Amino acid sequence: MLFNTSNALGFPVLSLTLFLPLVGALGLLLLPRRHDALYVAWGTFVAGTTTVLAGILWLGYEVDWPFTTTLANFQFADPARGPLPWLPGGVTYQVAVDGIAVVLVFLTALLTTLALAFSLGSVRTRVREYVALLLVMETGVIGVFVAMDLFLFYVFWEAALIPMMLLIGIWGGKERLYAAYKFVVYTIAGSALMLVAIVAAKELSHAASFHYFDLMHALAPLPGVGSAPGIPVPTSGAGASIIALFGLDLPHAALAIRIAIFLAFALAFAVKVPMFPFHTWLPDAHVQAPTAGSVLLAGVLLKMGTFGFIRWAMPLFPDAAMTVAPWLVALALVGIWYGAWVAFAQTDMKSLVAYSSVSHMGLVMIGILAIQPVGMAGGALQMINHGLSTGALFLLVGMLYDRAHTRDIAAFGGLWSSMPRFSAVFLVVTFSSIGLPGTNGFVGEWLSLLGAFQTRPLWGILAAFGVVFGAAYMLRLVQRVFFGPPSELSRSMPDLTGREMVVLAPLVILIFWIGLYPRPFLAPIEASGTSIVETMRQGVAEAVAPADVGARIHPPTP
Amino acid sequence: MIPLAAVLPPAQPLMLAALLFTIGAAGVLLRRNIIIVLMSVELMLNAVNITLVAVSRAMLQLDGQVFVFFSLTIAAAEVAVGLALVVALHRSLGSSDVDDVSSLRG
Amino acid sequence: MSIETLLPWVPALPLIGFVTLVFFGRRLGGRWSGIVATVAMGAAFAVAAWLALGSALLRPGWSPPRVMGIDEKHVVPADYLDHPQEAVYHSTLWTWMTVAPQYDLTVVTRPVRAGEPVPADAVTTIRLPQARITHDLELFATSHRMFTPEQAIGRIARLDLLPIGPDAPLNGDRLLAETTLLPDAERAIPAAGLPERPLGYVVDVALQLDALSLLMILIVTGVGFLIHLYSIGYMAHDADRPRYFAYLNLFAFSMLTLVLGANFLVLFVGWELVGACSYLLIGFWHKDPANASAGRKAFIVNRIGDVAFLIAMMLIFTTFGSLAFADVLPQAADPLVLSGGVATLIAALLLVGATGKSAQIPLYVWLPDAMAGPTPVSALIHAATMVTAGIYMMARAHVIFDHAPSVLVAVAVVGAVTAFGAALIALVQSDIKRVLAYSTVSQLGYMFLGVGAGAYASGVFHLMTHAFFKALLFLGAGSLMHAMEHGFHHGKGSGHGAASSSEDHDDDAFPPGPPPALDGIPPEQDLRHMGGLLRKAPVTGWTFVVGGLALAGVFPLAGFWSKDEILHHVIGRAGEGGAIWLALFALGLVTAGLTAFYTGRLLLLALFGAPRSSGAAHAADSPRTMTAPLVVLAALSIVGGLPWLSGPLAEALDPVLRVAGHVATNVAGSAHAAESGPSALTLALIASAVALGGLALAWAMYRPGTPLVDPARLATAMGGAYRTLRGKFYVDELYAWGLVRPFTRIADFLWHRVDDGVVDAAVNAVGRGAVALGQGSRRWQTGYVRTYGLGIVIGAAALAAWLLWLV
Repeated sequence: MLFNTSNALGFPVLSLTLFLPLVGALGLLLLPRRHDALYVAWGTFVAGTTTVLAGILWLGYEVDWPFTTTLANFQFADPARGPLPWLPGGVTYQVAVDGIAVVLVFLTALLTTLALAFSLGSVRTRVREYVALLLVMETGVIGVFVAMDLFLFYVFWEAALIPMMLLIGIWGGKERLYAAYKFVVYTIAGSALMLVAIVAAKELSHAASFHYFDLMHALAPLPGVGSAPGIPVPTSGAGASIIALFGLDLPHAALAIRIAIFLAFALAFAVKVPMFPFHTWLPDAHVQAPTAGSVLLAGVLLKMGTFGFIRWAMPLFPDAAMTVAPWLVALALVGIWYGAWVAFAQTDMKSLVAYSSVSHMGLVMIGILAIQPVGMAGGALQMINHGLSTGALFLLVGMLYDRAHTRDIAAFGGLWSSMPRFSAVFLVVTFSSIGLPGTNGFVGEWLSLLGAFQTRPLWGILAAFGVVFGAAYMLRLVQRVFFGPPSELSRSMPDLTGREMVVLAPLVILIFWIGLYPRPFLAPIEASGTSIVETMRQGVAEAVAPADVGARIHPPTP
Repeated sequence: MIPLAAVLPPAQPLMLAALLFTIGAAGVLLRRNIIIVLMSVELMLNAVNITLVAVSRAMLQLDGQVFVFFSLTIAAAEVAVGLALVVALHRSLGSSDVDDVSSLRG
Repeated sequence: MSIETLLPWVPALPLIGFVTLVFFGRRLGGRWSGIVATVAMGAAFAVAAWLALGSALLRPGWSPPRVMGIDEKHVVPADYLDHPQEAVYHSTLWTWMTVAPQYDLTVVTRPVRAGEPVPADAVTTIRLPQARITHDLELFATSHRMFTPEQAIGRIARLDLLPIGPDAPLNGDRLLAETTLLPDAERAIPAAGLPERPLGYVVDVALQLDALSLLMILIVTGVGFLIHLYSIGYMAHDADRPRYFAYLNLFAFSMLTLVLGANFLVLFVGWELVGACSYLLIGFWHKDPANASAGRKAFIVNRIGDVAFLIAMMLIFTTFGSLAFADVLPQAADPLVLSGGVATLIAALLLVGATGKSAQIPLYVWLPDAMAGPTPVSALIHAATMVTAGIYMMARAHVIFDHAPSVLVAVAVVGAVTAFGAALIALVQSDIKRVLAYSTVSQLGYMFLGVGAGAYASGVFHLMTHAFFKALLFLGAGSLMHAMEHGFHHGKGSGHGAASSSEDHDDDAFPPGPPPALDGIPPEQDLRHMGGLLRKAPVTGWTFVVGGLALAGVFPLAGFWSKDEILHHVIGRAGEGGAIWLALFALGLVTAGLTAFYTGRLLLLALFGAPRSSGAAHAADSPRTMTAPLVVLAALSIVGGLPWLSGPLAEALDPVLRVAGHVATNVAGSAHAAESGPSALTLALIASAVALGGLALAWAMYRPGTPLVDPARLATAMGGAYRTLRGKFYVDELYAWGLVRPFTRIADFLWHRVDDGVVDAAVNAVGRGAVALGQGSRRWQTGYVRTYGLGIVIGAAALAAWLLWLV
């Protein structure tokens, strides 16, 4: 028994949440022509309903569930009875959420709703297509978070990509085609490798299907199940020649194969995160994307990468992950420092926020790669926090852009006098972004750093310095834009409208909520995160010493 | 055991087919008039038909001959479509030279 | 109301004020905003006073009814329990962060026959995650499900939920009964369900009150209230008062959180928030980019220190498994838990953190610039409260410092050198606020010196007296500036008024209106434009004199006692042997002389002599909302240091700050130290002589009329030294050249050269390579049908040839 069905609502709530935006996008076809406001309102309504459903999932998710130590505590499985065969070759359909996914689904739905609500009046061309694409993308992203089948995950992964490419390419800025191509080609190049890894993981390990549990069963020994067959080492053909070339013994050869597959996954995810040398698509995409695109790109699309690490790459190949982790951490550390440093030099607000994302996502990776409960919880929570604060930053920059039609930092100055409310909200979001205690940023940051420190003190120390220097570029931005004598441009800017405040309010509330009372978010995250870490550790321990299984006490089925 | 000569097709029809096929292929490759190219394609097709009939006869089976009927039908349809394309091309380009139709050049 | 329930209101009241002002500030208007904020602050002070009276924490000789904060779960060294006066009130508000909570629970490990007592070796303690326990308990509670002896393996031994005795349902297997199972189940799981504190990573939002925090909240709320009151008058003409008072209340909240936090993380919340508030308040007049820059500088320099604090906290958590003071400090007292190396590391990191917040070398550079904020802010944040956070933190964590004697020496050295250097800079500054700012840095150095000498109580004592007289001096300076501004405006209006008295006659020598700013110093705060203000603004003037004398350490004002006590302890350490302490004592003594000198210079230039501008000539005293706080603070500066106050205070602080017996050899911060040095009276006489000497020298140089020693000639004579001091040792320039400029240059380099030039260029090169590949292979596509036809024919021929070859 791997799913907790005690909180099932009697209808397939998760599939409904997943496909509602898609249905909503199709529903746009039925609406009359040339009613732009209606399309946005419809889109907001659909995304809002999805948010309500996602909220129900989040509230209904049972944290205190006894089997958290055995697997990531998946709930709301649909079909609940078991995976539905979908395509030949072991591709199945089943969706479920663990504690990390349930919060991410909520974040996705919320940010899509806000991005759509913001778009009213901000986007003027091809509004129907715009709304439809945002909704399709919402389905794609939620699908990535809920898919229980690795192949299904891949399908949603690519499905989320296309709408974003079109959003950048059609509604973007001057260099939109370049940015859109770069985004797509870069991501596809990574995910093509992932597809190979997906097929390899299943075929080489002779797993029954692409389903998470089947793959886990075949690849990584589940606690109590005993050691898994894993991937056999080839004894003939080209594979054997390569192994002979490196002179590996059997265990090392087996590890080398797992590392190769893990790295293929890791590359695809690292591009998406983005980790240090694979990040250059991000500033281009962000600067060119329309506001809603930037919000969702930073808010949720980047999380697909880190989520991929947490859900798939690391638990499936625990020993490979632990072997490679120091190298990935090194990249993440470089990313933290480098992103912050380069952000300091930026002249365009969006590209500054984009580089800050590189820095912040590096911190997420550090927390995750600590492979330790505190770090895992911190990293996963920091995914949410980054989504909120960076999403809010992009919304704010978008609001500024709609008024001033420029994002050049030097063009502004002294905005506080003309836009006090806007400035106050911006300051709050800035504080969240630099991790001031009391805001959400601090909780995630601190837990990530602590986790990294407990695994390797040097990681925590280096990351801490990089993170704190983050204050430099954000405060520079704040100073240049809001303080000083008001510039010509700044003087005539109207303050936030009521609609804009409604859009920003949920984000500001969440910033303080998570900062002060993170329990509703942290509890599901840490429960699942801890269980993932334990599963990984046990997998490795049992692979090393299968005899030591009885050390832990497992619940007998009552 | 059937003697080998009994199952081998007679040489003459096959040689005729080979000759026709070669003429057709040469026509396709060397001629520029699009109608002649089309006719050469028909020649190649019919060379194959002769082979099918000959081998079918030699192996005492009807499959080959049945297949020729399909082949003829397809050839007729192909000619119809092909001639229509030729007319359309002639209208738009004003020529029936295959070398003028080279917009797929890389 | 109990103390625990009342405690959260101390920080909550300013927070309520802040929230009110954020949402309704503009509707309330400037005047009412000030009143709301001041009332919030006053209420917080009232609560703090109530706590002081109700808890009797500050009443010496009182022994608390119970020992709180320590329970049998924690390993408490006997030494720590020697002090039954340790009294801490805890108030846990909510659990902040929890990761992987686990509980140690007693369980049965193998089947036990019912009716027989469980053998000892069948019972063990295991660590279980919360979820498992909750599940088991719910199972018991809801379904009355019984466990057979076999099933009981690994189950939690919580059988008080089971029906016991003959009524128990039996189905084949006999049930384990409570009494037979586990005699000490009570201890393993309290009746409420789970043990109060899970293991794993858990941090509560919790406050704690002991003598140290109580003293701190009294200072913060008391001085804070006076400064709020003063601000109503001082900021009366500022359009942005709601924002100002909102920030001020937020600051008070942050500072109270800092001093009341029951664990390092809550302390850190306050620690960072005061930095943020300081950022906002320094940059309050943000239209001037210089102010905003000063705010940013303060924040970032503070943050550099904060990294060290952050790392120290990680190390503390890794070492002790908790961040709560109640867990960490008793453990830290045990040398078996805290080894010397780790203690040194933690203490050194905490020291770096403290240098950032308390403006010590090398991170002091933000404080003088922080004077860009409104003057009451300088008084509140940059004199009385925020900058003392470092001293508070070191005193709070002194148990760790006690184990790191080398770090303590470093603390003392940093403090003494900072005190000396800052006092030197203060000698020659013309900006009244800058003199006070460097004086603050210098006095904070004194507190560090005290802490470094192990005399934590003396450091805290000086912190308190300093809060009184430095707040007084800053508020007085603000009041003088206010008076000067009034003078400038007045002078403008009646430039040709009838002159009756002689000095008014002199005033007409000045052109009306403010003179141009010299060296970028606003004229109203430039000492060179002041003079004779004592007569024009008598209340401000006389209170300023009191504050100045207290700072100079003149008997019997507050500064004398506290400074004397620190020097006393330092020389006590010197008596134990150790030339370094003798050097530090000498440095402290010289600094005392310098302090007296620059204070004398400040007083003489500002208050005495003839007016040197129209502002000084036509100055008028400030309104009563501004002078009343001055009078109160002056009174505190007079009596605040008297032995009848400091004696009981030290006694009350002793349980919190006492150095544990077994490390006392490392730290001689106790009263024994006094015996080895010169007697208290001798030292007091020496210190008084030094202070009076400094004042006398100042008199000689800056007295009204012809000076005995001409300062201008002295400055020319010592040109290089003078310019270096005037230029503040060029530390700002050094940092700008050595740190800031490389930082921005590297940022530009990384962006243009590395990111665009290498990383992105590599990506684009791959893209271009793909395009080039396409360009090369497009030649195959001629567009001629016959080419493709030929390809087909050749291919077919090749295939046929291969087939033939196969046959």
